[in-house]
Amino acid sequence: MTQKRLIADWEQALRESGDPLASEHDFAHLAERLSSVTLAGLTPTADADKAGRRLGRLLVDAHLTAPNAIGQAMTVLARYAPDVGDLHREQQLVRMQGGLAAGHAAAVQRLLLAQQEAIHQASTAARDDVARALSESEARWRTLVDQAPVGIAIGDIEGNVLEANSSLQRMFGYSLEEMRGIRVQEFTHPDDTEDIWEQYADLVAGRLEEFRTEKRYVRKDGEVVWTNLSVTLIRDPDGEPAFQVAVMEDITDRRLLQEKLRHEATHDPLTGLPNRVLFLQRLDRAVADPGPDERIAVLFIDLDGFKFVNDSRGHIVGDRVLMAVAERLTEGARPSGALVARLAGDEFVALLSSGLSEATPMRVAEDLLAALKQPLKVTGQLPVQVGASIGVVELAAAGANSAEIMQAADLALHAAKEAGKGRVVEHDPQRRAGQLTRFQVAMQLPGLVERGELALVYQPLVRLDDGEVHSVEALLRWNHPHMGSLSPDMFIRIAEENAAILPIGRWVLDRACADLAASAWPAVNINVSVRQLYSPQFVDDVRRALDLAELDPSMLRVEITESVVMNLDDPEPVAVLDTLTGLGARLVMDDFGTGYSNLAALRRLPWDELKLAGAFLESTRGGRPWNPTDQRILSTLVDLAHSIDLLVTAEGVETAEQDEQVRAIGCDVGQGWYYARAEAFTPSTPARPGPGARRRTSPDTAPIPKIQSPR
Amino acid sequence: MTIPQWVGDDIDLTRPSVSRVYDYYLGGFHNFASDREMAEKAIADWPDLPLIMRSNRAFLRRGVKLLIEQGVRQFLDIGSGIPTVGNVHEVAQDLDPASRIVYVDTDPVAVAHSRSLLAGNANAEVLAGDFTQPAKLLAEVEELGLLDLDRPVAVLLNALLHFVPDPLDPAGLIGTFRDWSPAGSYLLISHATHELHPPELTRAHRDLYKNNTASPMTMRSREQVAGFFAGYELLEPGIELSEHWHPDGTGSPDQAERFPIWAGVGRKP
Repeated sequence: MTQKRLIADWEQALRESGDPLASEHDFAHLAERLSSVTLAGLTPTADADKAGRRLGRLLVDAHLTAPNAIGQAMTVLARYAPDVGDLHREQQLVRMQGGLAAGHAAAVQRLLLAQQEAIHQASTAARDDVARALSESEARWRTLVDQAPVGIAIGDIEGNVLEANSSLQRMFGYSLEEMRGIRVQEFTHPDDTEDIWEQYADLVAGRLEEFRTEKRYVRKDGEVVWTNLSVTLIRDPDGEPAFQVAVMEDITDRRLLQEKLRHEATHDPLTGLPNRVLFLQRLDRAVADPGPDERIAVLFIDLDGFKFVNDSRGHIVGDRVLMAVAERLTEGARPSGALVARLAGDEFVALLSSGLSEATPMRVAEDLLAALKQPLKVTGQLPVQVGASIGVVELAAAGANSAEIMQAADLALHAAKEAGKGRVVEHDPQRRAGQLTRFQVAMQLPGLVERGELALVYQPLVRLDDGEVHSVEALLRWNHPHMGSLSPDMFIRIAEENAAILPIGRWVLDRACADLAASAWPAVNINVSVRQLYSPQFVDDVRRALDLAELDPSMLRVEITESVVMNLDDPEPVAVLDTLTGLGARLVMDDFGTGYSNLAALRRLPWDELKLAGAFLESTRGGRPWNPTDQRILSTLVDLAHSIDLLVTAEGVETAEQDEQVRAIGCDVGQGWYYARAEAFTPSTPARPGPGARRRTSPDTAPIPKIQSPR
Repeated sequence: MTIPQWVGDDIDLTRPSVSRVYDYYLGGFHNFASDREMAEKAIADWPDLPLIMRSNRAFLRRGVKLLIEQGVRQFLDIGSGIPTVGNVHEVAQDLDPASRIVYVDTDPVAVAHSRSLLAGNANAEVLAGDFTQPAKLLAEVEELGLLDLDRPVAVLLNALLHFVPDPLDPAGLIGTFRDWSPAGSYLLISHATHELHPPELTRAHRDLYKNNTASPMTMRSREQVAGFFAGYELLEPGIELSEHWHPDGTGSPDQAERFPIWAGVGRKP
């Protein structure tokens, strides 16, 4: 057998070994090497076993590792046996076969062990990588969870706390160990709503994946902590509920702030009483959801004379008085369970809403008045006394409307004030139709002049010595489209509170001057409010009105009430009045003797006339004469006025007896129904003497229009 | 540190892995009992499987050789599996030691093994990465800095795409790699096909993978494989059976149809 055939045999064996990776190699070249190793191993001195092992190794190195490869190799050697020739070489061939088997097996074993080792190491390395990454990841998560500003806890499905982060431990004041001994269900708060625990039950039962709510907890130290709670269910791989994760944010501060803001929004900062907002909320609620036959009552309380306290003793004392009043009212209302609130300024209100008998509201109102009558102790001050007027509304809650209730209470209060202060007046539904609430008035005041709803009527002032008209007083009327003619009492006070008085005052001035110019009256008295005296335009307005009507300034008499003069501490209004008298206008002090008659006030301004308040005559109504003391005081007053050259007018003279009385104390001029009622001006005949000629005042010769005089 | 995408995956050695089963087909010992059990089952159904793998292996070798001849010195081998003898870096660096190779596989064991095998080889690296997340993968390839993106790169998708099901849009994924590749780059694909064998045989094989591994197979037609070369110019002879693709005399071109693998190499103009 030739070497060539041996090579061919080896090459075929390699091809048929079926080892996939073996194809990477050049079989022809490998077959040549195998062939020469085979032949060298069969030389007489060769170590055939060693050569066989080498063959086995070469096969494995060429990736012929499969069992089939050794079989094929054995076959090549077996086929060569007949060509060997002698016994020695046959033995060598057998040894070579043994060596080949052993060498191949050993090489495969080495390769196998090496590759198995490699793949095990690779899998271990991969697992370590994963484990490390997981543990790093877990460590990161743990740090994240532990440092999270929100509280996080994990519990099992029975509610045992398993883990809780630092935030949660801080939030609850328990250590992790302590938390682990507490079940979730024990973290209740008495005010928990039922649905929180219903949701919780649904969650642990697997019916709910997550719920969120705001919930209170009680800390270890007993304090309450408010949380924004979110609980999530974690299921096991089979989908069964396994754990619960709670995340909670501490919102205690936010809740407290909210509560504080809510309190501030609904309470009066000065007195701490509920404010208008809260009061109206409660009233709305009482009206919206009334029990059967339930009655409610509102008491509208307004202090009498508080403005005087404020003006005379300053705002600080005024505020303290309000605080003392609030306390007094709260105490006085306590037995009845009324809610007392401060609406504004010196206006208070009380709501009675449960278990009312019909008489209760009036009784409570009287109790409150009585409580206020006791002098108030004000820090650092002498006791202060304030009175109050109270308007009461009592009605069935069902079907009532809070806005209407407040309106009615306001009307009742108004009636109480008008009835002479210090009184309680219950709302009379009849009266309501004829009155406007302050609110309605305030709403309608703007545009009054433009809408042409104002009118003037004139009431003459009559000289008592000869019955001639001394002047006429321009009196304002509001021809309300629905309410008819309204007297100034109804709206001037409100107009003075907002700036509406200024255009009204200007209109009065223009109208009165124009009417005077068209009449035969000697002069006109107009009433000026304090607000006008503070208006920088006022003097110009007067000048313009006089010029337009071409009147002599002395025909204009400016009436200022005594109470206003009392409070004129500022230089501006005093300067305004000085300027007016400088122009030639006359100054009349109105309502003298009503409030705090201050003779010193007479010295401060260049007064021309003085009008005694009609109140002086009230006690004489029904024909009773003044008592001697009153009479003496009044006549002294008149004498005093005369001594400083003031003309004295008596207002409100309604009867012949009163006419006698005012003459008896020396009054110069009388005004009242007894002489003439106020009437609108109707220019019947042109009274002007001639165009262009400025009229000079001449009371003595002036014709008297429509005087209803008995004399 | 970025968390590897496979963190959290169990390295479950009781479950066959595609790369270790492939190693077993090739006569390697880088495998575990579960891999061998499944491979034996597959071979029992289809005794040609080891030869089919050998044919695929031989195509890869010839393909890399041709790419080297075309002047390519950079290779991105995705789905590289267990590095056995005759791997890309061995073939390429044997022809030019300066050749650079980046291996990518999702199998953490294959990656770990590759890493130990490549220790000391400055021009070869391995990444744990996923062909179906190309943006992330390419970002990591670039971060590695081994490949010079001013020069052509050959993307090798050797026996990979039949593990990428249609809903994952293999053509679109290939497009991402194509757009990323510099002009003059290459794409190499070998892909199992159902076109040459009775449906029962291929279905049984598919079921085996579907039921035992995390990688179900999608065998595709020649036309579908040709479609993957959109944007590339196919080198001669186009899409061919692996045994017919540039035969070098070591294979069995006369029995080419025993080996159901479509093979092709394309160049990005």
